[in-house]
This record gives sequence, structure tokens and C-alpha cells, in this order.
Amino acid sequence: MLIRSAFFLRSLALLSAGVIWLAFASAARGETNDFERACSAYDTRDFAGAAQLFGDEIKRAPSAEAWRNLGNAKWQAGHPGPAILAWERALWINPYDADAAASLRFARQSAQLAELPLRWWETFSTCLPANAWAWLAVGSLWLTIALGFVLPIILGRRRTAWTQSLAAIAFGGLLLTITGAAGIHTRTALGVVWSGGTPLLQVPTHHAQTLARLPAGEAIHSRYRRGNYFFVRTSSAGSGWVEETRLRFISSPGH
Amino acid sequence: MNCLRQSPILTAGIFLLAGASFAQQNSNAPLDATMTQLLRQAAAESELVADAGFDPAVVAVGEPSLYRVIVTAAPEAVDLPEKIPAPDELQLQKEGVGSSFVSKGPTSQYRTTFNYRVTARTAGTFTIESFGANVGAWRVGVPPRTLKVVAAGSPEARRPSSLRLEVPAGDFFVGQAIRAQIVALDPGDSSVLGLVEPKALGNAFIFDRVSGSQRRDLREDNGRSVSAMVEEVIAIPIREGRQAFSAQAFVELRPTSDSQTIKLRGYRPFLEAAPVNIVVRHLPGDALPGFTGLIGQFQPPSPRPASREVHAGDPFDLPIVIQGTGNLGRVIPPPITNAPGWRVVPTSSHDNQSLTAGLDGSNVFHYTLIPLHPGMTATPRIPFSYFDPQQNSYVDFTIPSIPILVLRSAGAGTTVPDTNTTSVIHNASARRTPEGLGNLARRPAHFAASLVPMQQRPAFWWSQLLLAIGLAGWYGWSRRRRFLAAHPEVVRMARARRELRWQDRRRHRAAAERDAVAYARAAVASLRVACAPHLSARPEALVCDDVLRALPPEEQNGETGKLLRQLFLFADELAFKDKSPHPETLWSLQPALETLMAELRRRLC
Repeated sequence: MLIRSAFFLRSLALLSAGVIWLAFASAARGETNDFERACSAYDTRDFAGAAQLFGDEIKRAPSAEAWRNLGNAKWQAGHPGPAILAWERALWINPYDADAAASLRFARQSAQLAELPLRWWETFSTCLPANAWAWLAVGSLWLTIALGFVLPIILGRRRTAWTQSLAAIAFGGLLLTITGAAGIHTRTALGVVWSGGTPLLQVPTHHAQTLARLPAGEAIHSRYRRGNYFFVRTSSAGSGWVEETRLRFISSPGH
Repeated sequence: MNCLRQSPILTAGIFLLAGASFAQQNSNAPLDATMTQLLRQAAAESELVADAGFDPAVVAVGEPSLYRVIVTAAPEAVDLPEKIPAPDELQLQKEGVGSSFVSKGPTSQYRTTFNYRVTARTAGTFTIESFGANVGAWRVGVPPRTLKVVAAGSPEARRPSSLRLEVPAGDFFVGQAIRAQIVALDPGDSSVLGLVEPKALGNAFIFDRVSGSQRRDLREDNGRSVSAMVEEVIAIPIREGRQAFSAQAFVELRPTSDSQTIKLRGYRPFLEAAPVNIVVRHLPGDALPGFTGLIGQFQPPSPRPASREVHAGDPFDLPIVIQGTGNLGRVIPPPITNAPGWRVVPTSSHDNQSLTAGLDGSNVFHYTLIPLHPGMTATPRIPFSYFDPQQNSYVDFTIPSIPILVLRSAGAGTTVPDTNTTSVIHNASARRTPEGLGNLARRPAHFAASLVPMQQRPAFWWSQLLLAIGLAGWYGWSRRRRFLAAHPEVVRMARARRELRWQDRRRHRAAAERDAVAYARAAVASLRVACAPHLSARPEALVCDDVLRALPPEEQNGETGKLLRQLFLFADELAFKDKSPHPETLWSLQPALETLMAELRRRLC
């Protein structure tokens, strides 16, 4: 009886695992098909359709590649602002994406747009994906704690040279990763002008004097917010107020 | 210069004079009293001279002559008498007033001319006597001048020099450039040498001078061919309807020995032309695309790019040359509104200063185009049109596409090695798009659930807090474990308390059920458990003496000791004798026993 029960449980577990694997596999195949369909639309120069499909793909399973392709499609469809934003987001997720970087460079060169200069810790933060810094920081922190506190104090192990060295290295890594995480934090204020001819206003009101007209794709750095307006710094037109609906931030959800 | 150094008021006055005069020319607002006073004082302190003269000094009966009074002061400072003291035979009619600066060495002198048209009814010699003119607080005398009037047809009679404005016949359109000519007719003695500061006047026009256009020419005047100085001016009407415009100028004259003419050094007679009326019409409403106000007759535009190759993203200069006759100098380049694949830098008309003549010639527009994608083969077509006033219709003037080759930009191309181009193009998974953008990804690989960085998500911090709490708990448990290892009596006490609570429940249950046997066994077990930690012994190994040893000596021999012995005796009788003891004995011990148990429990804490 006992043997028969064990056999039944094992069979049930195997069956459940199979069903779950099949569900995941079919879902993954569906996603892949959607992505490929979007690529096919792009290849047939249906850029508007491709942009729509890549946008749907991003809603379902956001990835650096989907953002990059969305940027290409938007650029080809004649929307430089959304295209530049999409490539920036692709690089936000995967800073090693050479194609997104090349597209961004090309677009900025073509549209005569200047890149917003980053501060040194922000430049440092571009070495790794945005989320990697936080994980590295907490990993370094917990490793430091484990080697310096848990091992000798909780577990009562004797402190050795290698554990101490490893703890020092982990602490140094923590300091470095905190710098990178700070860069990521300040880079969340970076954004892109969504539509061309966006007025840069002197004061945060609808009827304010227009200091300049910002082109689509112009990079901005937001300082602070008042109502529906952000006070931003631009690379070409100085500082001023821009209406919220005219901007998109790189790290904000939605597209 | 010394005069200026010595008199600061004079210096200030001259500047004020100039400024005020400029303001007066541009506005009809009256000067205020203080300004007028300053001007008058400044004018008076400078070299004040008044002169007069007839032009010509000999005239036929009925022919006009000009009587000019010139004062070396600003017009605002000069007050001439309302009535000039002229003989009754002369009819004076006041005409215009003109003023100019004349350079006098290191300084300048203001000169104002008052013109009067003089007509004599009879022949004779007529003198306008000397009279005074007020200039600020000063008074200056105008010398007497004599006009000789001879019979008509007399060879002695001369005609006055005159100014005429010549405009082509016909109707004109708003915005059309009209070539007008300011003509100074010579009186017949070739005394007119040139025109100085010729100026066209009219509120409904914009005027452009044509520099270098002054020339000597021949004109018909009352059936005679006379010499004339001609200067061209471009008049552009800005208002429709019947519009009038006129002209004025100073005339450079040959010096003469005539005593009746003005002898001031550098004197130039001031002439005015009679106004000319023209009819100005609106342009027809059916303008073609790209019409920006170009009116005239033109040859087809010719784009002349310096190069036929450009890299994507680089600016491409597209010069457009327009030749013909019309308002070339003021035309606005047509905007490029539909140029997919191109970024167009707005072209400013101020950039086009290449007009070679006022009306005839050529102009060049420079469009700056930036191709966005390599592989494009032609510039965008630029809709353009102009209005031909002769045909009274618009003419399509569209700038055609120019074949060019747009190469891949240097920045984007570096990502693909040239040696591997073929394989890259044939590899569908890593194909570079022909537009020069980065590759299209064929499969997603780097997923990110959210763009919000991890450190800005609450779940991240909650998970870290949970870890910290777990670590703190682990640390606390570890410390407790080590403490208990170092103090086993604490463990024994805790275990005894736990065991004692269980035995208490057994005992109370037995008492409630009046089960003397169970109560006795539970009471003995309770005593053993309560005393075992103090003796470092296992509870079940203890006997009555052991339990007594755990108590203070005074209790061992007192009531407590007696109670314990009775209880253990009762329990032994239950365990080892066939005959059960009387339960009432046990129940009589219960209150004292519970008190003892409470005391022992207290000692365990």
C-alpha cells in the first residue's frame, strides 16, 4: 500500500512539472512569435505597425532589445523624440547594447541634438545596467556583514586573513557600488523632449514667455517640479520650465 | 573745436539738435518747451547766418522762380515772419522746408531751407527787402534780394532748376518693386552737378535706394531736351488703392557769380518733386504653392550644389540662384514643408545678400539640408512660384530635385567592420538596416520588469529589511544559545518550571476528581521536579531525603519536613503495600502541600 502511494505521488509530481513546463514553453513561444512578427513588419517597412507590435511586446515582456527595436521603428516612422527615448531606455537596461548606442549617436548627429553632459558619478553608473548597481551594493553589504560579523560572531568561526581580506574587498566594492547607485539615482531625472517645438518657459504657467523651442529628442535634466511643470536644464537652450506632458523620463514607466 | 571746448552747452545742444531732428523726421510729435529752448540756445550760440536768393534771379513774366531763405540752424529753432516783405507784384507761395548737416572742418553746421514759389505778374525788378528771423533768443537778418522779371521769350530769362519724380505707367500690385526715378532738371546752363540725399516720400511704400544709380541723362521738358541728373529708387507699395508719393533732394550746383544767389559755403538748393499718384492692386487670390511674395519676371531657378555626395547626418548646402527682374532683394525663400528623410534648417532671408542690383540681377538662397538616412538619391522638391504682373498670373517656379548620393555616416558605420560586410548583410539575425541605424534585435535577451531602478522600489527595501531582521534574530538566538551553554542551571530551571506546570495540572485534576492515588503521585513528582535543579540531579532519581536536602535546614526539621515525610510515606505505601492508606490523611495535607509547591515554584524563577 505504501509503495503504491509513493508511486502515485511521484507520478503526480512528474505530471505537474510537465504541465507547468508546457505552459511556460508555449508562453515563451508566443512571445517569440510576437517579437518575430514585429521584426517582420519592420523588414517590410511597415514601421508604424512594427512600432505598435514592439510597444505591445514591451508591455508584455519589457526587454532592452524590444526597446531598441521600438526606437528603430519610431525613427523610421519619423518620430525622433520617441525613438531617442526608446534607445535611451534600451541602454538603461543594457548599457553594452552597441547597436542602440550607435543608433542614438546617429540620431543625435542627424537631428543636430547635443548629448546632455553627465556628472562623473553618472558617467560611472553607465558601466553597468541600472539594476545591477543596487544588487551589487546589497551583495557587497551582506558579504561584508557575513565575513565580518556572521562568521566570527554568530557562527563563532575564527577570523582568518583571507576572510578579513575578503571582507575589506567587499567593503570597498560597497563604496564603489554606492557611487554607481547614486549615479543611477540622479540619472532618473534625465529625460527626453517628446514632441518638437516644445516651449521652454520662463515661469511655470501656461502664458509664460517662451525662452526657446526645444526640438524632439532634446535631452533634459529635471531639477524640480511645480504643479504640471518641470524645471529642466538643457544642453542647448539653458534652463526653464517645460510642461509635464511634453517630457518623458528614461526611468519612468510607460512609453 | 575750440568753440566746442569752450561751450559745453553748444556741444550738448548740437547732439540734442541732431537727435531731436531725427525724432522729428520720424514722428510728428511736438517737441516740448525745454527741448525747444535748448535747441534755440544751441542754434543761437553756433555761427548764425541767414541768407536768401532767387532761383533763377532772372525769370520771364508768369514763370515761377524759387525764393529760398536759408538759416544755419535747426528748423525747430527758426521763426520766419508769417508774411515775407515782398512787393505786391510778386506772389509768394510757401512750399517745403528742408534741412541738412554741412561739414565745416571738424564740426558740422545745421542748415534749414525755406522754399517759396514766386511768380511775377509784370516785368520789372523787384526786391524783397531785408527782414529779421528769430532763432531762439537771437535775431538774425536776412539780406535783401532782387528778382528781375523780363518779358516772355526774352533770351535773358532762365528756367529754375526743378525736381521730378518719374514712375512707369500702369497699375501696380502690392509688394511689386517699382523702379522710380528722381530727376533733377537742369535750367539749361548745365549748372546741376548732382543730387545729394535724394529721398522718396510716401506712407504707403517701402523705398530702397539703388546705390550707384545716379547718372546724367536727357529729359524732355516743355518740348525741349534738357540735361538732368537721375537717381533710381525702388518703391514697393504696401497698401492697395490710389497712393501718392513724392521726392525731395538737395542739388549740387556749379558755383556762380550771380549776386542774387545764396553765398553760403557748401550751400545746396533744396528741391521738391510734385507728388505722383499710382493705382495699387491686391494680388489675385489663386496663388500657387510656394508663393512667398516674389513678383516680377524670372528665369527658372537653378540649384547649384557644390558637391553631389554627402554623408547621412552632415549638412548639405543647396544654393538656389534666381535671376530676373523683380523684388529679388526682399523675397523670402519658400519653406520646405514635405521632405521625408531630410531635416531642413530654416533659411533666413537675411542670409541672402547676394543681390547684384536693386531690381535686375540675381539672388541666391542657401538651403541647409541634412539627410537622415544613407542611400537617398535626390534632394527634396521645393514648391515655389512667383507672380508675373505683366501676365497678371502666378507662374510655377518649383525647384526640382537634384540627384545626389547620401553616404553612410561615419559614426554609425564604425560598428560594422568593412571586411565582414557581406556576411553581415546575409546574416538575417545580425543585419544592419540600410538606413544606418543599429541592428534590429531578432530575439529578446535582456529583460527588465521595470525601468524604475531597484533602489527606488519599495519591495527591494522591504526584502533588505527582512534580511536584516532575520540576521538580528539569528544573532540573538546565537547569543542565547551560548549563554545557555555556559549556564546549564538556567536550562534545568526552565525545564523544571515547564515540567512543574505539567505536574501542577495533573495534581489539580486529581484533586478535583478526589483521586488520592493520582494526587499523591503527582505531588511527589512535583516535589522531585521542583527540587532537582538545585541538586543538579534527575527528578526521578530523588528520594525524600534528597528533596529535604534541597530545602533550607530550618525547613528540613520543621513543619515542611514533616509534611514531606508524610507525603513520601503515603506514596511509598501506595507503591509497596497491598493495603491502601486512608485518603483523608492525604487531603488533610493538601493545603500545606500547595503552599509549599508555590514556594518551590518561586525558587525556580
